[in-house]
Amino acid sequence: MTEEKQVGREVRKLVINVGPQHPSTHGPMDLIVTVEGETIVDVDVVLGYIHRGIEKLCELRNYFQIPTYLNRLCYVSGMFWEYGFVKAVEEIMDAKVPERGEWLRVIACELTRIASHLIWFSAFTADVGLMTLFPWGLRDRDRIIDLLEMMSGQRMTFGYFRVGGVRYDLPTNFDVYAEKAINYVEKHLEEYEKVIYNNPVFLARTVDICPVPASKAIDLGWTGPMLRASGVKRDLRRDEPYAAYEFLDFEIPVGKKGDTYDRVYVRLEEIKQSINIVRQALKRIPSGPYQTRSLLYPPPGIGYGWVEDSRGECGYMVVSDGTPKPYRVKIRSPAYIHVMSIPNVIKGSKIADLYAILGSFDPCLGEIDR
Amino acid sequence: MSEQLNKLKEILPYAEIYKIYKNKYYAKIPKDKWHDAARRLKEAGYVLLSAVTAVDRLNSMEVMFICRRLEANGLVIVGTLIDRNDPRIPSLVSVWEGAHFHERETFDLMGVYFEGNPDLRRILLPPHWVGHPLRKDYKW
Amino acid sequence: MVAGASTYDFERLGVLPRNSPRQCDLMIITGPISHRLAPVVKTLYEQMAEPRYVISYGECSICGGPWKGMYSIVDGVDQVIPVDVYVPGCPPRPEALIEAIIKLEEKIKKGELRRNFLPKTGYPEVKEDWRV
Repeated sequence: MTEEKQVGREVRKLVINVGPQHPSTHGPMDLIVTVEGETIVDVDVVLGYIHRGIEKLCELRNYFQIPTYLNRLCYVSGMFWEYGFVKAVEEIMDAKVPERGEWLRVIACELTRIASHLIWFSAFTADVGLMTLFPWGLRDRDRIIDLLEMMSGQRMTFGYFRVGGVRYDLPTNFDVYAEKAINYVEKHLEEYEKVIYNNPVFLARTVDICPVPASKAIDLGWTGPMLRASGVKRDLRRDEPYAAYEFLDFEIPVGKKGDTYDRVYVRLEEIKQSINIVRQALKRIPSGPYQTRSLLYPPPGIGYGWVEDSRGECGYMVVSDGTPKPYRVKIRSPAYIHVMSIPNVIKGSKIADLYAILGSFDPCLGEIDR
Repeated sequence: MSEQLNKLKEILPYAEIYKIYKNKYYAKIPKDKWHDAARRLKEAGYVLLSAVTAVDRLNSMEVMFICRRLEANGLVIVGTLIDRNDPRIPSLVSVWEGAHFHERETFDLMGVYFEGNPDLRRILLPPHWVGHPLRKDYKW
Repeated sequence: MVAGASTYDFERLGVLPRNSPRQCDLMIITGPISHRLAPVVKTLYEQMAEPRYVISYGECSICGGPWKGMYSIVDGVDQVIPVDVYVPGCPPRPEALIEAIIKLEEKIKKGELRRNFLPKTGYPEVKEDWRV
């Protein structure tokens, strides 16, 4: 901001195209950045490079075939995206899920949350410059993905959720393998905290960078860890408990200022809370059936089902008309809102901080473009 | 909860309110009260906007927005019917800043024109695309 | 991305990720190609210097995958650029990528790559008896 006042030096606006193919592996997204000197003046977000038309595809397939497509929306946190749709359909049909099914859903969701936050961690630290932590995060995520493969048969695009329960039961001795994997992750989590929180380079790159006050975050429609980092304590698992969350004991980490450091802190603390939840659930899971027969297709009506995704509120509005195919499915993606609100919050930051800020927003291009 | 139902009847006296599930309601309002309903809901505590979207009913277009409360639980879907051949409706950007992104996507995929939106252009499809894919009569 | 990490390391085969297409020999295409992305892929392919190879990873870039026939998807990346190795699966495991790289190296040693589909871009002509 002082550059314009320097005598004898003119500053012109420069438009930089941070193009669709860039080395940090978020996906193809185009940012057209207008810079004056070193300060960002305007950003235009260009999306649509992997727009697949999933909302239109949902009108052409029936209710059994759709969850298979939906976990490819955000492929790093696939379980949540199936769960939202199944929840919306169950609300229209008023279907009941047996107890063991609910607890299995909790275990699947929390393991996916740990995996999603670990891959965010790898990508973010690679953006900030700590290249060594990139394979560390992926190494830990591989152990969690092995557990999810034991549960559902697939590493990334699980077809695990059904209307009325889940598809498979836990294999034998699952809690032995789970305990080993979770201890492995927890041990390394302490190491990550030591590396990050005492590192002056990391602190200089994240503290007080792009702070967002709570009122602005609410007005823009943020949800999830981004809203909690600005100080608003809202979490669907605590406010309107679904699945088996009302029987579980966990805390909700909240930040203070809403800058990049707070967003990193909230996500790392959430990994710890998820580990806690999985341990409790594995001890207390009841035995019994895990799936019920439900109607083939719901009666006419509207349902809005949303779950607390690792990025925010992942919601599905399903409009059904009594035929085996839905009439309209609206997919509400949290990362779309966060990434599209970059122009509203980034004015005044420096161009060198662009990737750190973008990384802390946790974009996943599959769900943004749908 | 019926206390949310009573509260909604106070906030929107001109709406017909149906219940979807436990504390989710659907309110049907006349077309010219669109901006007014949004403003009243925001002042009454429904500050979190979830989505602004549209459904193609074949002889009209139904536009709806979904908002939630912050201090307590509760969700309301507010819907209205507009003309399908010339779909125009006032924009909600002056009420919630985050409505801008939803309206751009609805314009792109459904063709609903929001008056008052500062920058209404296509976002998910290339700028030279012709047609609005999510309409029921779209052929490709 | 996971194939480059520590569990399925592909750096032991001699694969190193680089930031610029001018320095690369191999392009791996994962995921569906939309009408907006197809000119970008073509530009990147033309920026790579000879000899250059392409691996098409996953069903979406082989034939369009689960999204075949949708309004915004190109059915397969081989309608845009020539492809040397196809890796099927949805999604394929990281071990499949390692096998694809090994197969590509064998193909290069035997000299079996298709050279008659090269786009005419002004690069020097490749002779028929060229061996690695």
